[in-house]
Amino acid sequence: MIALGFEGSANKIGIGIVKLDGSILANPRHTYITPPGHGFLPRETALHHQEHVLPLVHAALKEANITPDQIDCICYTKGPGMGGPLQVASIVVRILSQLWKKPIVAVNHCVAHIEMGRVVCGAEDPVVLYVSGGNTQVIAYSEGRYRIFGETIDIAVGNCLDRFARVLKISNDPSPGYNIEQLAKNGKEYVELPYVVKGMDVSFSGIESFIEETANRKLAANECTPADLCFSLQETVFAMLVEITERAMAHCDKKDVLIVGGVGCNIRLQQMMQIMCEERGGRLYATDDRYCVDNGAMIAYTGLLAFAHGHATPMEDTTTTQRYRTDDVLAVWRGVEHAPVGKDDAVNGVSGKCGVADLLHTSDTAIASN
Amino acid sequence: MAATATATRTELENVVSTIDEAKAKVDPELTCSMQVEYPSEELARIVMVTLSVDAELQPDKVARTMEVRGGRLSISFRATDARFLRASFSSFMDMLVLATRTIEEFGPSSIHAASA
Repeated sequence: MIALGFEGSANKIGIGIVKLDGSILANPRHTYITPPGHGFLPRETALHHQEHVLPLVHAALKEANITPDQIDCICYTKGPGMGGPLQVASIVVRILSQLWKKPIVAVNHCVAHIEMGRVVCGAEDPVVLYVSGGNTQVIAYSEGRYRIFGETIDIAVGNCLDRFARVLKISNDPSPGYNIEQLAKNGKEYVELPYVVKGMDVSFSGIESFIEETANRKLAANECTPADLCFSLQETVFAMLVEITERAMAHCDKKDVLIVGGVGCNIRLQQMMQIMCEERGGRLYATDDRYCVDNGAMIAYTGLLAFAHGHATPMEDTTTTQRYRTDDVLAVWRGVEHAPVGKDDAVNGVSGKCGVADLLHTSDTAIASN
Repeated sequence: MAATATATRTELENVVSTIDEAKAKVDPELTCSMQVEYPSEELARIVMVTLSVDAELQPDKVARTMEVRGGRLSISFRATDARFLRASFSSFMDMLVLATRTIEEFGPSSIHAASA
C-alpha cells in the first residue's frame, strides 16, 4: 500500500510518499523563511504554499518513481494549524482525489508527529514529548488514544524561542531555533530566568517577556552577550520540559521517551533528556530535522495506518480546523493492545471514564469543567 | 456603477467577473457573480465539489451559491457589507485559482504533457 501525504499547517509545505511498512519513497518540502525580526503570518504563508504545492507534488512523484494509479489513498493535515495554510493542501487533495479516483484520509498533525517518530526510531510505547513552534505537549498512549499528560498553558516552547530570535534579529534560515542553538554553544554566563512549571503544565510567555526586557537592558549595559542569553533560555525551558516528561513517565510507568516536533532536533534538548532517561534505566528516541520538522511523509504514513484499518474521510468532511486536540483521535491502528473503548467515547472525542483520567487533560471542555 | 474585475493570471483569462454595487446606497445587499469555463462538465463539477466543502466563515453576512451547466461553473455571492464581500471573494478566488491550476497540471489534458 502506498499513500501520498500533504502537510501545510505552518510555514512548511511538504509532500510525502510512503509505504505501510514506514519506508519513505519521497519527502520533499519547502519552507517559508521570513527576514530576521519577522515571523510568518497566515496570509503570506498561504500564498507561499499556493506557489510551491504543485511543483512539490511533481517532485515527489518523480523521486518516488511512481504514477498516480499506484497510490492507494491521499492524506492531508486536517489540523491543528493556521487556517489559510491548512486550506491550501486540502483544496489540492480534493481535486486530486476526484481526478485520480482515490479516497482521502484526514490526519491530526500531532498524532502524525508521534507515529512518524515511532516508526523511524522503532519506539514501541514511549512517553512522547511533542515540542514545536505551535505545540508543547507531553503525551502517552492509553486505552485507544494519545492522552495529553501535560502541556503549555500559553505559547509553545518553539514560539518562545522564535520570538526571542526576533528580538535579537537572529536569522530565520534554516530556522530561528537552529540558530539559537548554534549561538548558545558560545554562552558562558547563565542569566537567571523564571522557571515556570505548574503541576504537569508549563508556561513560556512570562519567560519570553522577561528575557525580552532583560536582553535589551543587559546587552545595552554590556552585562552579557547574546550567546549567554540563548544559552540561558535553552537551559531553562529545556529543564522545564525534562521535568514534566519525567513526571509523566512516573505516572504511567513507561521507561522510554520519544521527542518529536521541530524543537526535537535540538541536540541540547536531546542531551538533557538522555541524561534523565539513563538515570531511570530507559532509552531516548529522537530523530533529526528530516522527520522532526513538519513533513508530508508523516501525514502520509499516519493516514495510511488509519486507511489500512478501514478509515477514509468522505469528501464533505475534508475540511480543516485550527483546533484539533491530540486526544480527539481514536488511534484505531493501536487498538489491539487494549480493550475497545465505548462507542460514545469514539464519537464525541471526550473521555473521562478511565482511572487515570483525573490526571489528564482530555479535552478543552474537561479542563473548563474542572 | 458596475466594476469589472480583471484576472491577471493567464489561467483565469476566461473569468468574467462583475460586481454590482448599483443598489448599495438604497439596499444593503451587495452581489457579485462570475463564470469560469472548463473543458468539460466533469471538470467543472470537480471544482464545484472541491470549493463547496468549505462553508463561508460568516454565513449570516455572506452567502455563496454555485452551479454547473455544461463546462461552465457559475458562482455568485450575496453580502450585507462590502468589506465581508471583498474578504470572501478574495479568499475564494485564491482557492479557485489553486483548484484550476491543479486540474491544469494533473487533469486529463496534462497527461500527454507529462509523458511527452
